Amino acid sequence: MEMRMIAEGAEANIYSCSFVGMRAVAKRRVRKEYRIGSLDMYLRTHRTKVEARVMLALSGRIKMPRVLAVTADTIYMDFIDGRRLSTLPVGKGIEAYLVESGRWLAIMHDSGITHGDFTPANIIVWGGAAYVIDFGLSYFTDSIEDKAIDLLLMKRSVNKELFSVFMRSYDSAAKYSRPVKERLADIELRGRYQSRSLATVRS
Amino acid sequence: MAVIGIESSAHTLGVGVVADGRVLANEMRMYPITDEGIIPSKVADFHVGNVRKAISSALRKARVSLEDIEAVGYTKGPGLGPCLGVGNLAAKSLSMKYGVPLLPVNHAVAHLEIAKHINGFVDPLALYVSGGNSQVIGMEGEPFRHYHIYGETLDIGVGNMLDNFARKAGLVPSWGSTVAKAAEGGRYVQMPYTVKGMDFTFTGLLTNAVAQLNEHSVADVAFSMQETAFSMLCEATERALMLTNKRELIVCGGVAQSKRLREMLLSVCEAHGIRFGFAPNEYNADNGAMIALVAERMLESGQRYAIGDCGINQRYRIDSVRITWR
Repeated sequence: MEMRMIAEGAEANIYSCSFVGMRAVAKRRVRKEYRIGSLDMYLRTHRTKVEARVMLALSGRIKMPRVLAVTADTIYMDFIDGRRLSTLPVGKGIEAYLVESGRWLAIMHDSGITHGDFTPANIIVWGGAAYVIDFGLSYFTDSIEDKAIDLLLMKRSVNKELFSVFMRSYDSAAKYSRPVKERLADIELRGRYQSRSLATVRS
Repeated sequence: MAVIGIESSAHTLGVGVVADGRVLANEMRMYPITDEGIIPSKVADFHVGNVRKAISSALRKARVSLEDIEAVGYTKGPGLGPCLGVGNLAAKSLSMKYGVPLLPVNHAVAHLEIAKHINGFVDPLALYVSGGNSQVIGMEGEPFRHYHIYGETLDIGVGNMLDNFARKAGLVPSWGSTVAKAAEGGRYVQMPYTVKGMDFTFTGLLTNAVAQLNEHSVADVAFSMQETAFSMLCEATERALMLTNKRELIVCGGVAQSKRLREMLLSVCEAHGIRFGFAPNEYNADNGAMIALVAERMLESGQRYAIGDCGINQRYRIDSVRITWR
């Protein structure tokens, strides 16, 4: 199978490939020379396994790439041919996509899953819909704290108005949003993080 | 003309003298740590007893007299209140007696700036790792030029974890290099590895490592804890490098003295063709020279402070500092 690298990440490389004649994406966790072999092998296989499980559990419930095949270190999935929400110019209907994203995160949380890196860089806009991608840091948990951190990451990535649009949608879709919102306020009050400035992402 | 800098944020009292970015003296007096750890008021007493001697010996080494000093810098924070207070008071006294500007310096900015200066870097990403702090930092422009924190520890600093483990495992002296020595020849046992985006946590790892001392040798546990913690730092750093596209990386702060951490970060950089650098150990330990260096930059870029605005701030965050120099 011909694989062409389209993105080099900190954790995994993304390749474009064809899967039984269909355009697909392969996400492969490659060896990191900086860490010892046993830890490296554990992280790569364990994370690939968890990511595949998360994706399969969410399949059909939110808009996201479908899993086509899984090996020890690689997940083959649908190619989502759009652009990242983080690169969309202001005024291109960003609000509507954030409303949709808020609903997807609510469904994830209600399914006992946290995303782990829920920012506009991990939402792809395609055919008028918002697709959630990169479940590389996702896992199964009912921890309120972990869910609140999902919200915190989004809050740090967009401005106040956009975040409140996102939150309203999350709030109305999630079954148990109140403790998560309270925890978010709590985390922000912890001295160390009060003044943390907004992340600015250069693409 | 020269600038003097006084550092007293934790157990080390440092006095440095800098002229035109050149370090003329870098004197240190370190509080002898026992198994009770650091008790801020005791350390402050130690600093009070040493600050005078440290200042005169720094001036002697620099061959500079107090009349030649054009500004005084001190550590405003972050750090331990009573300790910061000593440096603050000494700096205020000098500034008033000799009628020269007083400049409040952020401790983290100082570690980063001196490493950047020594390596001749322009816009590096920095991994700042010390007892109290562990942060991935880089320059951003909005709403003012400042060091943005891309990721950081959500609980304790990595140095705090290493020191704490050393005490629990009976390793003396109880700090990171002792843990590194104990780790030699150890084998890997699995431990909790927690990275959330570019943030990370260390308390779970510490608790687990201490518990594993019951089943495994100190060498195995020390090795595995160190490898796990440093791998977490490398992953967060690598992610920030990918996000920011910065082409230079520095590691600074007390834990930057770790050979293993440097080796791992170098490997991260080599994989992406990024320049890697760090400062000599005397500038990774807490020191006065870095405070003097930043004070000189602040002075040259026109910053001036009324003496009433020169206090201390135990939680002085690096991202609240306005960077007015290049």
